[in-house]
Amino acid sequence: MASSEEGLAASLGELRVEAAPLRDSEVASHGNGADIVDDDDDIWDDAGPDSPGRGSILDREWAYRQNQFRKMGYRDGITEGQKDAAQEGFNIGFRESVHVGYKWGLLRGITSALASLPDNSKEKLLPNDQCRGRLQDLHNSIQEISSDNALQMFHKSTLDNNHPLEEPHIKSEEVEAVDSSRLETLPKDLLLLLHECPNIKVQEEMA
Amino acid sequence: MDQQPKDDVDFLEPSILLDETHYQEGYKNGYDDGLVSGKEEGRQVGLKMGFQVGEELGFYQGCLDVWMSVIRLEEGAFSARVRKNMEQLAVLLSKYPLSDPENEQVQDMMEKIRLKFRVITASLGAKMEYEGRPTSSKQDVEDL
Repeated sequence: MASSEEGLAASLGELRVEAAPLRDSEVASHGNGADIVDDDDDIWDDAGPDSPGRGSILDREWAYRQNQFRKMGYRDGITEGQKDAAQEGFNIGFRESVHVGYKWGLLRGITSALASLPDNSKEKLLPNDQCRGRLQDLHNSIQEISSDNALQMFHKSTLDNNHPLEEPHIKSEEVEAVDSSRLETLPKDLLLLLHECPNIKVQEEMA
Repeated sequence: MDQQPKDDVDFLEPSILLDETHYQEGYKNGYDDGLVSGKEEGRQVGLKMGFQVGEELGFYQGCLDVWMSVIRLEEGAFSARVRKNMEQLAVLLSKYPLSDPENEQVQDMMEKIRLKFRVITASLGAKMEYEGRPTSSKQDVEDL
Protein backbone atom coordinates (compact mmCIF):
# COMPACT_ATOMS: atom_id res chain seq x y z
CA MET A 1 0.00 0.00 0.00
CA ALA A 2 2.94 2.26 0.68
CA SER A 3 3.83 2.57 -2.99
CA SER A 4 0.28 3.35 -4.15
CA GLU A 5 -0.03 6.00 -1.52
CA GLU A 6 3.24 7.51 -2.63
CA GLY A 7 1.95 7.47 -6.20
CA LEU A 8 -1.22 9.27 -5.25
CA ALA A 9 0.69 11.89 -3.35
CA ALA A 10 2.86 12.44 -6.42
CA SER A 11 -0.21 12.68 -8.64
CA LEU A 12 -1.71 15.25 -6.39
CA GLY A 13 1.54 17.19 -6.40
CA GLU A 14 1.62 17.24 -10.14
CA LEU A 15 -2.06 18.05 -10.35
CA ARG A 16 -1.37 21.12 -8.31
CA VAL A 17 1.39 22.39 -10.58
CA GLU A 18 -0.59 21.63 -13.72
CA ALA A 19 -3.55 23.41 -12.31
CA ALA A 20 -1.85 26.78 -12.28
CA PRO A 21 -1.36 27.24 -16.04
CA LEU A 22 -4.79 25.78 -16.76
CA ARG A 23 -6.43 28.29 -14.52
CA ASP A 24 -4.37 31.07 -16.00
CA SER A 25 -5.74 30.41 -19.44
CA GLU A 26 -9.24 30.51 -18.05
CA VAL A 27 -9.23 33.72 -16.08
CA ALA A 28 -6.03 35.28 -17.48
CA SER A 29 -4.75 36.64 -14.23
CA HIS A 30 -1.45 35.39 -12.83
CA GLY A 31 1.74 35.29 -14.85
CA ASN A 32 3.93 32.59 -13.32
CA GLY A 33 2.48 29.56 -15.09
CA ALA A 34 5.45 28.90 -17.40
CA ASP A 35 8.01 28.40 -14.62
CA ILE A 36 5.91 25.80 -12.96
CA VAL A 37 5.42 23.86 -16.19
CA ASP A 38 9.19 23.57 -16.59
CA ASP A 39 9.46 21.79 -13.27
CA ASP A 40 6.70 19.41 -14.20
CA ASP A 41 8.77 16.41 -15.29
CA ASP A 42 11.34 16.78 -12.54
CA ILE A 43 8.75 16.49 -9.85
CA TRP A 44 7.37 13.36 -11.42
CA ASP A 45 10.81 11.77 -11.89
CA ASP A 46 11.94 12.49 -8.34
CA ALA A 47 8.90 10.99 -6.72
CA GLY A 48 7.98 8.51 -9.45
CA PRO A 49 6.83 4.98 -8.64
CA ASP A 50 7.80 1.90 -10.64
CA SER A 51 5.43 2.52 -13.56
CA PRO A 52 5.65 6.18 -14.52
CA GLY A 53 3.84 5.75 -17.87
CA ARG A 54 0.66 4.49 -16.30
CA GLY A 55 0.88 7.13 -13.62
CA SER A 56 1.08 10.07 -16.00
CA ILE A 57 -1.95 8.88 -17.98
CA LEU A 58 -3.89 8.80 -14.77
CA ASP A 59 -2.39 12.13 -14.00
CA ARG A 60 -3.62 13.75 -17.20
CA GLU A 61 -7.01 12.24 -16.59
CA TRP A 62 -6.98 13.96 -13.20
CA ALA A 63 -5.87 17.27 -14.60
CA TYR A 64 -8.56 17.12 -17.27
CA ARG A 65 -11.21 16.26 -14.74
CA GLN A 66 -10.04 18.99 -12.44
CA ASN A 67 -10.17 21.53 -15.23
CA GLN A 68 -13.66 20.41 -16.18
CA PHE A 69 -14.87 20.99 -12.66
CA ARG A 70 -13.20 24.39 -12.55
CA LYS A 71 -14.90 25.35 -15.80
CA MET A 72 -18.28 24.17 -14.57
CA GLY A 73 -17.80 26.16 -11.40
CA TYR A 74 -16.67 29.21 -13.34
CA ARG A 75 -19.70 29.13 -15.62
CA ASP A 76 -22.13 28.78 -12.75
CA GLY A 77 -20.28 31.42 -10.76
CA ILE A 78 -20.20 34.04 -13.48
CA THR A 79 -23.92 33.70 -14.11
CA GLU A 80 -24.71 34.08 -10.45
CA GLY A 81 -22.27 36.98 -10.02
CA GLN A 82 -23.78 38.84 -12.97
CA LYS A 83 -27.24 38.33 -11.57
CA ASP A 84 -26.23 39.62 -8.16
CA ALA A 85 -24.53 42.75 -9.51
CA ALA A 86 -27.00 43.71 -12.26
CA GLN A 87 -29.37 45.75 -10.10
CA GLU A 88 -26.55 47.63 -8.40
CA GLY A 89 -25.03 48.46 -11.78
CA PHE A 90 -28.43 49.52 -13.09
CA ASN A 91 -28.94 51.89 -10.18
CA ILE A 92 -25.50 53.41 -10.66
CA GLY A 93 -26.07 53.98 -14.37
CA PHE A 94 -29.58 55.29 -13.81
CA ARG A 95 -28.49 57.87 -11.26
CA GLU A 96 -25.62 58.87 -13.50
CA SER A 97 -27.88 59.74 -16.41
CA VAL A 98 -31.32 60.63 -15.05
CA HIS A 99 -30.52 64.26 -14.26
CA VAL A 100 -28.76 64.81 -17.57
CA GLY A 101 -31.83 63.45 -19.32
CA TYR A 102 -34.11 65.51 -17.11
CA LYS A 103 -32.32 68.72 -17.99
CA TRP A 104 -32.51 67.89 -21.66
CA GLY A 105 -36.20 67.10 -21.28
CA LEU A 106 -36.82 70.43 -19.54
CA LEU A 107 -35.25 72.16 -22.51
CA ARG A 108 -37.44 70.21 -24.90
CA GLY A 109 -40.58 70.84 -22.85
CA ILE A 110 -39.99 74.55 -22.33
CA THR A 111 -39.33 75.28 -25.99
CA SER A 112 -42.18 73.04 -27.17
CA ALA A 113 -44.70 74.60 -24.80
CA LEU A 114 -43.58 78.14 -25.61
CA ALA A 115 -43.73 77.49 -29.34
CA SER A 116 -47.24 76.09 -29.10
CA LEU A 117 -48.71 78.95 -27.06
CA PRO A 118 -51.27 81.22 -28.70
CA ASP A 119 -49.69 84.45 -29.93
CA ASN A 120 -51.10 86.69 -27.22
CA SER A 121 -49.62 84.49 -24.45
CA LYS A 122 -46.37 84.14 -26.33
CA GLU A 123 -46.06 87.92 -26.57
CA LYS A 124 -46.49 88.30 -22.84
CA LEU A 125 -43.75 85.81 -22.02
CA LEU A 126 -41.33 86.74 -24.80
CA PRO A 127 -40.97 90.52 -24.75
CA ASN A 128 -39.87 91.20 -28.33
CA ASP A 129 -39.63 89.86 -31.86
CA GLN A 130 -35.98 89.08 -31.45
CA CYS A 131 -36.68 86.80 -28.46
CA ARG A 132 -39.53 85.12 -30.30
CA GLY A 133 -37.27 84.54 -33.29
CA ARG A 134 -34.56 83.04 -31.11
CA LEU A 135 -37.08 80.79 -29.41
CA GLN A 136 -38.31 79.52 -32.77
CA ASP A 137 -34.74 78.80 -33.89
CA LEU A 138 -34.02 77.00 -30.65
CA HIS A 139 -37.23 75.03 -30.89
CA ASN A 140 -36.41 73.99 -34.46
CA SER A 141 -32.90 72.91 -33.50
CA ILE A 142 -34.20 70.79 -30.65
CA GLN A 143 -36.97 69.24 -32.73
CA GLU A 144 -34.30 68.03 -35.12
CA ILE A 145 -32.79 65.96 -32.37
CA SER A 146 -34.85 62.88 -31.62
CA SER A 147 -34.77 61.30 -28.20
CA ASP A 148 -32.65 58.49 -29.60
CA ASN A 149 -30.21 61.06 -30.96
CA ALA A 150 -30.08 62.81 -27.61
CA LEU A 151 -29.40 59.52 -25.89
CA GLN A 152 -26.68 58.84 -28.42
CA MET A 153 -25.14 62.24 -27.80
CA PHE A 154 -25.20 61.62 -24.09
CA HIS A 155 -23.59 58.26 -24.67
CA LYS A 156 -20.85 59.91 -26.70
CA SER A 157 -20.27 62.57 -24.08
CA THR A 158 -19.80 59.93 -21.39
CA LEU A 159 -17.34 58.17 -23.70
CA ASP A 160 -15.43 61.41 -24.14
CA ASN A 161 -15.18 61.63 -20.39
CA ASN A 162 -13.32 58.33 -20.45
CA HIS A 163 -16.02 56.24 -18.90
CA PRO A 164 -15.86 52.72 -20.23
CA LEU A 165 -19.01 52.10 -22.20
CA GLU A 166 -20.07 49.46 -24.64
CA GLU A 167 -20.86 50.05 -28.26
CA PRO A 168 -24.07 52.04 -28.49
CA HIS A 169 -27.25 50.20 -29.42
CA ILE A 170 -28.51 52.74 -31.89
CA LYS A 171 -26.49 53.37 -34.98
CA SER A 172 -27.36 55.26 -38.10
CA GLU A 173 -25.82 57.74 -40.50
CA GLU A 174 -27.99 60.45 -39.03
CA VAL A 175 -26.77 59.78 -35.53
CA GLU A 176 -23.13 59.83 -36.58
CA ALA A 177 -23.65 63.29 -37.99
CA VAL A 178 -25.07 64.69 -34.77
CA ASP A 179 -22.71 66.97 -32.92
CA SER A 180 -22.85 65.82 -29.33
CA SER A 181 -21.73 69.23 -28.05
CA ARG A 182 -25.26 70.47 -28.81
CA LEU A 183 -26.39 68.68 -25.69
CA GLU A 184 -24.34 71.32 -23.88
CA THR A 185 -24.76 74.37 -26.09
CA LEU A 186 -28.53 74.29 -26.60
CA PRO A 187 -29.34 74.51 -22.86
CA LYS A 188 -26.96 77.47 -22.63
CA ASP A 189 -28.73 79.15 -25.52
CA LEU A 190 -32.06 78.71 -23.79
CA LEU A 191 -30.70 80.09 -20.53
CA LEU A 192 -29.42 83.18 -22.33
CA LEU A 193 -32.85 83.64 -23.87
CA LEU A 194 -34.61 83.13 -20.54
CA HIS A 195 -32.47 85.84 -18.94
CA GLU A 196 -34.24 88.28 -21.20
CA CYS A 197 -37.67 86.85 -20.40
CA PRO A 198 -38.15 87.33 -16.65
CA ASN A 199 -41.78 86.24 -16.85
CA ILE A 200 -40.79 82.67 -17.62
CA LYS A 201 -40.00 80.83 -14.44
CA VAL A 202 -38.45 77.40 -14.83
CA GLN A 203 -36.96 74.68 -12.67
CA GLU A 204 -33.66 75.38 -10.98
CA GLU A 205 -32.22 72.29 -12.70
CA MET A 206 -32.24 74.22 -15.95
CA ALA A 207 -29.56 76.61 -14.71
CA MET B 1 -5.74 21.74 -2.39
CA ASP B 2 -4.18 21.59 1.00
CA GLN B 3 -6.00 18.48 1.99
CA GLN B 4 -4.04 15.25 1.70
CA PRO B 5 -5.78 11.93 1.35
CA LYS B 6 -6.15 10.17 4.63
CA ASP B 7 -4.78 6.69 5.04
CA ASP B 8 -8.05 5.07 5.90
CA VAL B 9 -10.32 6.44 3.18
CA ASP B 10 -11.16 4.94 -0.16
CA PHE B 11 -9.26 6.17 -3.23
CA LEU B 12 -12.40 7.70 -4.77
CA GLU B 13 -13.43 9.59 -1.67
CA PRO B 14 -10.75 12.29 -1.88
CA SER B 15 -11.29 12.57 -5.64
CA ILE B 16 -14.88 13.62 -5.07
CA LEU B 17 -13.74 16.09 -2.47
CA LEU B 18 -11.23 17.44 -4.96
CA ASP B 19 -13.90 17.75 -7.64
CA GLU B 20 -15.94 19.78 -5.22
CA THR B 21 -12.92 21.92 -4.32
CA HIS B 22 -12.12 22.60 -7.97
CA TYR B 23 -15.72 23.41 -8.70
CA GLN B 24 -15.77 25.82 -5.79
CA GLU B 25 -12.53 27.45 -6.92
CA GLY B 26 -13.92 27.92 -10.39
CA TYR B 27 -17.18 29.18 -8.96
CA LYS B 28 -15.44 31.77 -6.83
CA ASN B 29 -13.39 33.07 -9.77
CA GLY B 30 -16.47 33.09 -11.98
CA TYR B 31 -18.57 34.81 -9.37
CA ASP B 32 -16.01 37.58 -8.89
CA ASP B 33 -15.73 38.11 -12.65
CA GLY B 34 -19.52 38.00 -12.91
CA LEU B 35 -19.90 40.75 -10.34
CA VAL B 36 -17.68 43.01 -12.42
CA SER B 37 -19.24 42.28 -15.81
CA GLY B 38 -22.77 42.14 -14.42
CA LYS B 39 -22.37 45.51 -12.80
CA GLU B 40 -21.12 47.07 -16.00
CA GLU B 41 -23.90 45.50 -18.06
CA GLY B 42 -26.46 46.71 -15.55
CA ARG B 43 -24.93 50.15 -15.67
CA GLN B 44 -25.34 50.25 -19.45
CA VAL B 45 -29.03 49.52 -19.17
CA GLY B 46 -29.32 52.00 -16.30
CA LEU B 47 -27.63 54.77 -18.25
CA LYS B 48 -30.07 54.33 -21.09
CA MET B 49 -33.16 54.04 -18.92
CA GLY B 50 -32.15 56.90 -16.66
CA PHE B 51 -31.69 59.27 -19.57
CA GLN B 52 -35.01 58.26 -21.11
CA VAL B 53 -37.00 58.51 -17.90
CA GLY B 54 -35.29 61.80 -17.05
CA GLU B 55 -35.98 63.25 -20.46
CA GLU B 56 -39.65 62.34 -20.42
CA LEU B 57 -40.26 63.74 -16.95
CA GLY B 58 -38.20 66.84 -17.73
CA PHE B 59 -40.30 67.38 -20.82
CA TYR B 60 -43.55 67.36 -18.83
CA GLN B 61 -42.04 69.59 -16.16
CA GLY B 62 -40.75 72.05 -18.76
CA CYS B 63 -44.20 72.34 -20.34
CA LEU B 64 -45.73 72.80 -16.93
CA ASP B 65 -43.25 75.55 -16.07
CA VAL B 66 -44.27 77.48 -19.15
CA TRP B 67 -48.00 77.03 -18.50
CA MET B 68 -47.58 78.13 -14.90
CA SER B 69 -45.69 81.19 -16.11
CA VAL B 70 -48.65 82.00 -18.36
CA ILE B 71 -51.08 81.59 -15.45
CA ARG B 72 -49.01 83.90 -13.24
CA LEU B 73 -49.40 86.65 -15.83
CA GLU B 74 -52.99 85.96 -16.75
CA GLU B 75 -54.96 83.58 -14.60
CA GLY B 76 -57.78 83.29 -17.08
CA ALA B 77 -55.54 82.14 -19.88
CA PHE B 78 -56.63 78.58 -19.15
CA SER B 79 -59.98 77.36 -17.89
CA ALA B 80 -60.38 76.47 -14.21
CA ARG B 81 -60.59 72.81 -15.13
CA VAL B 82 -57.34 72.91 -17.07
CA ARG B 83 -55.65 74.84 -14.26
CA LYS B 84 -56.74 72.16 -11.82
CA ASN B 85 -55.29 69.44 -14.04
CA MET B 86 -52.05 71.39 -14.28
CA GLU B 87 -51.83 71.63 -10.52
CA GLN B 88 -52.43 67.90 -10.26
CA LEU B 89 -49.70 67.28 -12.81
CA ALA B 90 -47.36 69.45 -10.74
CA VAL B 91 -48.05 67.33 -7.68
CA LEU B 92 -47.54 64.07 -9.57
CA LEU B 93 -44.24 65.30 -11.00
CA SER B 94 -42.97 66.52 -7.65
CA LYS B 95 -43.69 63.13 -6.11
CA TYR B 96 -41.80 61.12 -8.70
CA PRO B 97 -38.69 59.58 -7.10
CA LEU B 98 -36.18 60.47 -9.78
CA SER B 99 -33.20 58.94 -7.99
CA ASP B 100 -34.90 55.79 -6.82
CA PRO B 101 -35.27 53.47 -9.80
CA GLU B 102 -36.05 50.52 -7.55
CA ASN B 103 -39.20 52.15 -6.23
CA GLU B 104 -42.05 49.85 -7.22
CA GLN B 105 -44.46 52.73 -7.75
CA VAL B 106 -42.57 54.38 -10.61
CA GLN B 107 -44.40 52.68 -13.47
CA ASP B 108 -47.80 53.57 -12.02
CA MET B 109 -46.70 57.12 -11.37
CA MET B 110 -45.36 57.52 -14.88
CA GLU B 111 -48.66 56.24 -16.30
CA LYS B 112 -50.62 58.76 -14.24
CA ILE B 113 -48.33 61.57 -15.35
CA ARG B 114 -48.69 60.61 -19.01
CA LEU B 115 -52.44 60.45 -18.70
CA LYS B 116 -52.67 63.81 -16.95
CA PHE B 117 -50.43 65.39 -19.56
CA ARG B 118 -52.60 64.04 -22.37
CA VAL B 119 -55.75 65.38 -20.69
CA ILE B 120 -54.19 68.84 -20.45
CA THR B 121 -52.84 69.02 -23.99
CA ALA B 122 -56.15 67.73 -25.35
CA SER B 123 -57.97 70.52 -23.50
CA LEU B 124 -55.51 73.10 -24.77
CA GLY B 125 -55.90 71.83 -28.29
CA ALA B 126 -52.14 71.93 -28.40
CA LYS B 127 -50.52 69.49 -30.73
CA MET B 128 -47.93 68.56 -28.22
CA GLU B 129 -46.68 65.18 -27.50
CA TYR B 130 -43.66 63.72 -25.96
CA GLU B 131 -42.43 62.01 -29.08
CA GLY B 132 -39.37 60.49 -27.60
CA ARG B 133 -41.27 58.12 -25.42
CA PRO B 134 -39.35 54.91 -25.80
CA THR B 135 -41.50 51.95 -26.62
CA SER B 136 -38.95 49.60 -25.13
CA SER B 137 -38.54 51.28 -21.76
CA LYS B 138 -41.28 49.38 -20.01
CA GLN B 139 -39.90 46.13 -21.31
CA ASP B 140 -36.42 46.97 -20.05
CA VAL B 141 -37.75 47.52 -16.57
CA GLU B 142 -39.64 44.27 -16.61
CA ASP B 143 -36.55 42.43 -17.79
CA LEU B 144 -34.72 43.47 -14.69
